[in-house]
Amino acid sequence: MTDLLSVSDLTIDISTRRGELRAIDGVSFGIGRGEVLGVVGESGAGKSMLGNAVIGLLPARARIAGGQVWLDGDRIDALPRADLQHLRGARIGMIFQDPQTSLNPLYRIGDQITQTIRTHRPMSQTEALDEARRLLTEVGISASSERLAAYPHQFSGGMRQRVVIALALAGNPELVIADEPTTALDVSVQAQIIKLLKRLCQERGVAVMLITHDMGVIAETADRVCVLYAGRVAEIGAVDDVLARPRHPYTQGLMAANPTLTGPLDDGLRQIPGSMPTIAARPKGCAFHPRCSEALALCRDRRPPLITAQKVECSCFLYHQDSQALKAT
Amino acid sequence: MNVSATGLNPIVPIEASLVQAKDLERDFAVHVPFLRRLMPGFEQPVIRAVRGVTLAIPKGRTYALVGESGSGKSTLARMIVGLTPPSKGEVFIGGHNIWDPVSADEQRKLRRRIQMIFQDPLASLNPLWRVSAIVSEPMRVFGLMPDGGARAARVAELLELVGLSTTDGRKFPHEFSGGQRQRIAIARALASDPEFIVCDEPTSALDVSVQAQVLNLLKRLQKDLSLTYLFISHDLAVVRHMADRIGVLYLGELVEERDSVAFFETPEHPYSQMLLSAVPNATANSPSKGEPVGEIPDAASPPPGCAFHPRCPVAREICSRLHPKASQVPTGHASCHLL
Repeated sequence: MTDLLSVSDLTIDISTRRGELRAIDGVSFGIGRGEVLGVVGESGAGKSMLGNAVIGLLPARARIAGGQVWLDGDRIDALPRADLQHLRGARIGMIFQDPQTSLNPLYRIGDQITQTIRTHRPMSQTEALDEARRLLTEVGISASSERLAAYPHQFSGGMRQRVVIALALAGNPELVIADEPTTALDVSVQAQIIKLLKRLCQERGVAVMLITHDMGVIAETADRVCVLYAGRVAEIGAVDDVLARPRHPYTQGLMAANPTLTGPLDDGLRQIPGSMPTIAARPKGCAFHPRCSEALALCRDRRPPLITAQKVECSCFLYHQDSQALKAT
Repeated sequence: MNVSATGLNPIVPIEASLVQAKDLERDFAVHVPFLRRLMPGFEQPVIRAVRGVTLAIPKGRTYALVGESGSGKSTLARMIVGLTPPSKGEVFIGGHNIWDPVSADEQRKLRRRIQMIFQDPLASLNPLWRVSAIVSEPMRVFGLMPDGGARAARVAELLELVGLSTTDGRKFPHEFSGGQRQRIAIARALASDPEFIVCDEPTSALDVSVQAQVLNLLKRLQKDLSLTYLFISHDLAVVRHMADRIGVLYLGELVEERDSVAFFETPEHPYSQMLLSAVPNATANSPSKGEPVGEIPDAASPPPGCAFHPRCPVAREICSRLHPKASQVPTGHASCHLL
């Protein structure tokens, strides 16, 4: 196994008053060392659930109903609580969307970082303080004593997110999960944070699972992209391949619906009709078929498997070799 | 000839415009703890949220305000729509001053012509009201369609206009998806038959595929009903698809105002250039060229001279001393010492 993180056939159920609902339905992907995998999808696609499942932060009502998660040869999907605590922070770092809520407002920045370092690594307070300075410099904050003594509210949004990144790296993790790390930030700050994430990933050889709804962020950051729709993988492949020529009708629609700074303006944006089905009302067959303009008769009843279509893996019957034959049925 | 606050003749003569804002300013007092206020030499600190903004929107056009959080776009919009009183300046709709109306009656008539669509439809729709009550509220408020039957027919017509079904009027907001809720908010805005609609980040809370539906709907309605929009967004790609004219706000000032096509071809102000280079591009696989640095400063203590100079890649010595005046550039103006 060459991938650092390998997720195979992961299935997550949520128990509700209406019974068990399937949130994630047989998702498989891998991330190599130093690689950035972008997980893209609209709200309700299950992308955050996927990230939380990897780091063992599923809500109480959700459980892994099938499949496996491996990190560097260790199975991590069914770990006891104590082992999970070692996993989080030390082996997997996490960056959340809103830096305001992921930092403790009552503790100084320096204390939060040194505490995290000492939780995961055997260091004295002085060593940890030196390490904290080094981490802050690494994420682009001048590590003066005033900065270390400052509280989160004294930092701007972009600076706070840099501190959160420093915290995620404090345990020297092999994998970083970044869940919408730039969504709460302004564009000019977003561009800086994206660049920082990319640089850190290359320098440290850390694997990054970047969860976002923004195709633009994926294009600028990720090596490979996994497009999720209604809890399933619609398409997964190298960013250049997928963005230059999306295979799945959903990815095509998503790309066409995305407003751009170049290109013609005359006939408005192409839109995908309808919206993502809720988890309780996912259609039979291909989950995208009610919104798909190219849906075949069999898309209504049969779920398309993930197949390789010109280097990219895609779950769509249009790319089956015998699709012409299938169309006739 | 009317001369704008920038000392330049606006491209669109202000009188010909449906919406005019003249030299708008808004200050907010910063809260200071009681004891510190008693200290000798205490001076009330003030945030100058909007400073000397003049703009005009011709009928049937879209004017987009862009800028990052804290730039004053929402404060400016709220002054233009009549929600936040300006500290200084005037707002005219069809030649009538909305902040100094002749009579209460005239004020009501003016208010009917202005509507607003907010960012989060879940927060702007009353969860306890049925959609039909929500959409018909402006008609009740302004005393339009007093007859119940006619009002119900108008609600059905409005729902169809925004792409919902007439039976949706019986439902509650929570029964709809985000995009459908924003359609309800649009139907409500149209209910008083307005000429001018302020759209404050109308698609920021929506997914990409749904955003395209709402943007296309807004464009179609503008064409069919000859609506005038003030469109507020932080997303330049969205703005490019919607706007005829663009105003870039930085710390409460219009640093550049241009026609949309010219702006996207040759942005003149270094801040505009930085904003454009920061937009991640999904289609081209070339990484963006610009190097955005820093963040928008605290409006309570703006930098001296040009407010943008600490982040500006081409700043000179003069920029930190002297506040730049607006210079004429093709199709508009920009405030930079280098122009």
